[in-house]
Amino acid sequence: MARFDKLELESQSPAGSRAVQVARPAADDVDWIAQADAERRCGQYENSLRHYSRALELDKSLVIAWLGQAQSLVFLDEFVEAELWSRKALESFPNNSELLAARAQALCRTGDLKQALAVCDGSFKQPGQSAYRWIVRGELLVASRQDFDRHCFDKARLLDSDWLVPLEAALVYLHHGFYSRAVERARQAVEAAPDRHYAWYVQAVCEIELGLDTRAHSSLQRCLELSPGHVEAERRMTDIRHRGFSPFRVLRRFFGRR
Amino acid sequence: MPGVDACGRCGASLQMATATLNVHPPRAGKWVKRLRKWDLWRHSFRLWHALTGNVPRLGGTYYANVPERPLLLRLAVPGWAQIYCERTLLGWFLLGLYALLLAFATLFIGTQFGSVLLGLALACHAASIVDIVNAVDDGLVRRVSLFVGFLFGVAMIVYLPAGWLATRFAVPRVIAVDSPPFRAGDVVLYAPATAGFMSPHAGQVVLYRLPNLFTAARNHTRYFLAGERIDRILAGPGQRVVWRKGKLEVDGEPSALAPLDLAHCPADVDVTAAAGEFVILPSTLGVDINAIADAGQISRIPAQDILGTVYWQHQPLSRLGRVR
Repeated sequence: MARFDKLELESQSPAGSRAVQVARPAADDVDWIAQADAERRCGQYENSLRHYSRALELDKSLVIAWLGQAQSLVFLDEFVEAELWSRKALESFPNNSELLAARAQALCRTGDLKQALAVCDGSFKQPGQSAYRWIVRGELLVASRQDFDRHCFDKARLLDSDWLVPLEAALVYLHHGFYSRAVERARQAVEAAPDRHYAWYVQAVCEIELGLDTRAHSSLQRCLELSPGHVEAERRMTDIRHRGFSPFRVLRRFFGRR
Repeated sequence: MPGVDACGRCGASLQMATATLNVHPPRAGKWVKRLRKWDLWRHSFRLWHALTGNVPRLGGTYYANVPERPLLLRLAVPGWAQIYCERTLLGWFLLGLYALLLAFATLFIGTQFGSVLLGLALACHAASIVDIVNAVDDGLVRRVSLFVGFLFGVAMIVYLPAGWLATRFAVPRVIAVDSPPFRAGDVVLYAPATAGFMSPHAGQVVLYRLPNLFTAARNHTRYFLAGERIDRILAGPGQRVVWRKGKLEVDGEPSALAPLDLAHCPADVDVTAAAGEFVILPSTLGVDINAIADAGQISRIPAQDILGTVYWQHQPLSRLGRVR
């Protein structure tokens, strides 16, 4: 049962393995979490949020579900709600490093960098390591226009080789408008998981923002091969085909991203 | 342990399973999200960080390892920031071009060509700022905002005071119609009377405003006299002026002063200036002054209608020189 998750038992081997079994959420919770994770890997954050909520309905002690909710809200551009929700989760799980990181990310996106940095520092003071904390740290450095954000994202990759890590780093760069850096991370995600359409889609978005229409076109084609009928990919493909003159694009070329 | 509500180590609640918690997060509506993108509060953070947090990171791609505050101060002079960043060729080019354009703009000030040159000089300064801002490794919107902000700052700190100071000493005025010794299209500089640089007194050539009045003339003609003219002050407040047969007497004493255009002077005038008035014989009216019945009345110009002292003819360059 979840209420005994954090009990420290003396016997390690058989009893410990049983404790691990006990600590695992019930099969239904696992299913919901797995579905939420699967949706997240497809970029369907709305569905992901719903599945995390379903998991929490069954077991409110699932920190990963609270965290997933906050992260989904961030990706859905609902930063105020994400901050509120992570704060609420922190009431139940005080000083949880991941939730602190989620709150820092939400604060960062609302624009309150000062508090975000303080919360992120608090997250790093907690024991343990995780890729997400480094991603958030990287995002704060990006938002506050400091160098070394690359090191944070590289560190996150070292800690977790999951392709979602560079992809979410790319999403961070995309949010803050650093497209050339975003495309680099998206490429890493594509290299790590060439069979995931969402990685191709994010790469295409970065390439579109950089004005690399030919590359974006081929990335979108890969995306549509893997996920036929991907609405957003089709829309962007049509945009590329029928792209006309845009003063904003000319202005962007004039100022030239690096 | 039974009865314990929270974990002694991490503080996590141990009553989660029985607790009644809402597990569905609050959501933002579509319009709320759209509105939030323009939320002033959110942008106020961004503006604040742009003004404070981002300024020290002005270095950017080209100008890494350059202290930002000195760089920021050097934006006031075009090319100076580039020279500071050891891009001396570009810096000197911008500075040289700016100085050249500004010099020529000053030479042709008051003319259309001069205005174009002045605009190009300002564009040169803006290019210097763009070069610095463009090196900032950030999004387009932020860079454009920074550029606009810096341009506004430079305008407020450099150009506004400089413009204010310059207009204390010299304001260009284009002559619209021929009025000897000036011709249409000539440019003269005058020092505003309110600035105190050259307070008007007898002998000075001044720009003055005619009182808006109808004046009777011969053959049932009436003139409406208005607008600005340039002429010489012949006497100050309280003085009596007698102008007869081309000779001037001020308070009974002969005076060497004369109106600018002797050919169009009134024939005989005897006028006394009241307190706060100057005597200017209107020789540059552009009408037959001798036909006007009361030339004496329009020769008395109140001090507040003296706009400034005309001291320099600027255009054409062939007649460049002091106005005497």
